[in-house]
Amino acid sequence: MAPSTLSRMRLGGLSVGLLLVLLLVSLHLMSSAVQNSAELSRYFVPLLIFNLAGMFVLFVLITYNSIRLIRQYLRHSAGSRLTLRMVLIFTFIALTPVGVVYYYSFSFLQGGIDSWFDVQIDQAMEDARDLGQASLALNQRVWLKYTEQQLMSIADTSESALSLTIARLRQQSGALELSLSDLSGQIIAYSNAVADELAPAKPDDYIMQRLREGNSYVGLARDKDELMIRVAVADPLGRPFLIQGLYPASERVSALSEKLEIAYNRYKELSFLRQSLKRNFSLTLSLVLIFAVLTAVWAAFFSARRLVAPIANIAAGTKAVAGGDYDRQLPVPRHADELAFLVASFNTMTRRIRQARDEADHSQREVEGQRAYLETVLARLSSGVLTFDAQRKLRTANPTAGKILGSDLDELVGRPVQSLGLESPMLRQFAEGLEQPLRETEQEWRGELTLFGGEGRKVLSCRTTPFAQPNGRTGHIVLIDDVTALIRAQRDAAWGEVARRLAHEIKNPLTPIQLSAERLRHKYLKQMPPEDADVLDRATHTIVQQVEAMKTMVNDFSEYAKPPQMSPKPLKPDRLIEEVADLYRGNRKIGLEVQLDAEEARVEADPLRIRQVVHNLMKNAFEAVEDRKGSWVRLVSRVVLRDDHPFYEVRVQDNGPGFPEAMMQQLFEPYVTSKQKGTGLGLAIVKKIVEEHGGIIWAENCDKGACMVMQLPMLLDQAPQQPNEEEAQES
Amino acid sequence: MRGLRVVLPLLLLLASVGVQAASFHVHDVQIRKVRDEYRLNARIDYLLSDEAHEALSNGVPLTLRVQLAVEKVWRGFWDPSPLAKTLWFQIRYHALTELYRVVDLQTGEEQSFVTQDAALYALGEISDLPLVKLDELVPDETYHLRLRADLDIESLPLPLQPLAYLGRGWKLTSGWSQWPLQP
Repeated sequence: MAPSTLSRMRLGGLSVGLLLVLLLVSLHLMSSAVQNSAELSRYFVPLLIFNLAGMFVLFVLITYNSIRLIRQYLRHSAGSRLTLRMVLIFTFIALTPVGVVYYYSFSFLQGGIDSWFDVQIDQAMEDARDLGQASLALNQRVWLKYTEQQLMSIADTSESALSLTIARLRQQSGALELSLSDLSGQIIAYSNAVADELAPAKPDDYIMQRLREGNSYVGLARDKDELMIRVAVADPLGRPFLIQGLYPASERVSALSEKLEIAYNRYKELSFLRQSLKRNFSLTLSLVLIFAVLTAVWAAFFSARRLVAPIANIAAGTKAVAGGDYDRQLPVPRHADELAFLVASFNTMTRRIRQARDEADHSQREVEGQRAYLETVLARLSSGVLTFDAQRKLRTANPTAGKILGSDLDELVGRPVQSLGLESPMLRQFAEGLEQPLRETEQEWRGELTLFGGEGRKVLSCRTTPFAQPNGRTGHIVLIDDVTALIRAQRDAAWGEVARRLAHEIKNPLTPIQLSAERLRHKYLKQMPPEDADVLDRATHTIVQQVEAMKTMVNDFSEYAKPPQMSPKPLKPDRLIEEVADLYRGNRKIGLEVQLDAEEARVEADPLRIRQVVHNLMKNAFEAVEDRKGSWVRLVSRVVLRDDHPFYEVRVQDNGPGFPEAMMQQLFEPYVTSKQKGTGLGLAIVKKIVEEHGGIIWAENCDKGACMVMQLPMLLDQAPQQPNEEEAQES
Repeated sequence: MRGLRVVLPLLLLLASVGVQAASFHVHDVQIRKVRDEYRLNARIDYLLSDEAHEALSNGVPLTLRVQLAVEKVWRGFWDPSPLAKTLWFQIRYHALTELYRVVDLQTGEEQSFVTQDAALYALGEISDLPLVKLDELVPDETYHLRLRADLDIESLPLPLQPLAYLGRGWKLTSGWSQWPLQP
């Protein structure tokens, strides 16, 4: 987790913490408003709204965190499972006691408030009220009767007499007020115990209605703290009079009634407010519960995230390390606890792994450098180098070894030596020759192996050297050199020496022999009888002819043995070859097909000698097919690549019988010929001239006869004409 | 649709009855000039809601508030009002004597009534209430009287107040009404 994430989490925690404190204060104020503070009660609704809004914010936060956590869980994010488990555990741990406390608090609240209002107390209060009302009713009935009697005792009719009568009756009864009125309530006579009370209290509509219906009214009245009995009576005698009296209750009755009334009213009010009180307390308690639950859940999220964050970091870091990312450094928690120690250890571990990786990379680079260097050296070696392990399985082979053995040895790496021969006959011969030396684990072995393959006989100089492998077992290094050309060169040199000596030793006596034979013939032929002369003639003729033949032979030897005397110059060989080919176009028995595709190719060569070579090759080809029907000779030139260097190639092919297999290896050696009249020096001289030009020549048996192939290096300022490399390599 | 035509007026009627049953109304407002002052006669119908009625029957005192204000018709907020007065009345039921006692909290004058209607009727009668002296008014200026009667929730017992603030049955008010007052 990034430091910015941590600081954001701290900021979010502080914000929510502040909200929680505000909510707590608001809840406390609301609780006070419900219980005992009239001042705060007017803020009840704003406080309630604030609390609900704050709790809604908390709820949204928790919902958001829950959804995020569930998504992380479904994505298998690091630490999500542990966070979810901790949140559930924390929530359960917090909710259980809160729920228990809420349950019992609610029960106590309901039961406690109800216990104040016991059924018996209710009944007692009702009974007390009934008792009071009964006591007062007795008094009222007395006053009602008395008032009726007073009304019936009135016999006057004039207003003045009625006023006096009413005043007298009031004094007699001790009433506070006594008034006589007509049926509409209009006062006829009035008397009051208080002198300054001029106007009587008019009966309210309810009393007047009862009186009009013929019913008397008696009830209680209260003036300030004084309890009175109000009596209103219609005249039982049917006169249009209504009398209304206001009588004082006794002081004791008045005092007791007042006390009872206050107590009863208070009790009744409290009993009525009981439900409201319970609702208020329940509401407050429920809000506190919701606050506690939301706080606990949010705290569970916050704590779990803070606790799990380092663990999730370590999990993510471990995953990164497993994926090869050793640069990951985790933020160390501020508190020096076990988690901080774990994170610090993780950081140390990744640092050391990174150092080790860097060192390993450096070593590997060095090893790879050395290996590349070694491979480069091995690739540039003219010798073939192969290594075999203790099980005699091929482990490495440089390109030269593949070239010498004519196979792609890279494909054969891992195979045992005895199965290498499955690929080609040459490899089989090589493997058979090496099988025994590779069993030797102590000493080196040197030897020559002669292999026969498509390119002819090949002589390899081999040397095996045991070496200790990294696993302690003994493998072998095999060095091979193709010494075929060397041996051939040695043989050519020996033949050259022989030829030079022959030319020197034989040519000298030939002329005296020839002269002597001609002298004998000249001196004695005419003197001898015809029979003898004929013998002499034939004998001398034979001598001269054979000497001539020997001279020719000696000249050929001399030609073969003499050092190169070339005058090379740049030339386009296609033109030269075309000229030679023109000499053979007149032959009607043998078809000549010329296909020269290297018109622009240039080589540096002696034109006379190259002409001699081509002439010789053409002559051989025509002689090989001269007695056959449908014979033909094909002359083809093209540019090929050999070791990335362009060569001018000429192929002279015929459809004759081809070369005998036994002769293939010595074809270019002196005194090797398949012709009856040949000296056997033609191809040897051809090969010598080609090699003097830096080229090579070889013979092949094609599908339809023999084929001689000559390749000459081209001048480098001439671009190759899109040669076919594969064909060149095959060649 | 036919059912809706029948039911909808009934619902509207019931709603209007409900509103009528639980609201205060000011009417018969008379502003008289008596010598050097204006006096008010008015009638306020206090129609209690079920909640208020139940509370009153259980001995809870209800405090009624009448707010009066005499203001210029075109008045700036800096202009002082010639009159801004609140009258407080309390009604309470006494179960022992089965009387409704009405107290004018301004004067402390008490009256007892046998029935609730009589008590509320007496409460709703404003008679010859002095408003403003003539010399407190600017001549040729147009004034009006704003009048509102409502149940004072803050005077209810504490346990009732939260519910009174939240519940609709306790929002008893006539709303402000304006009456012209011409000097």
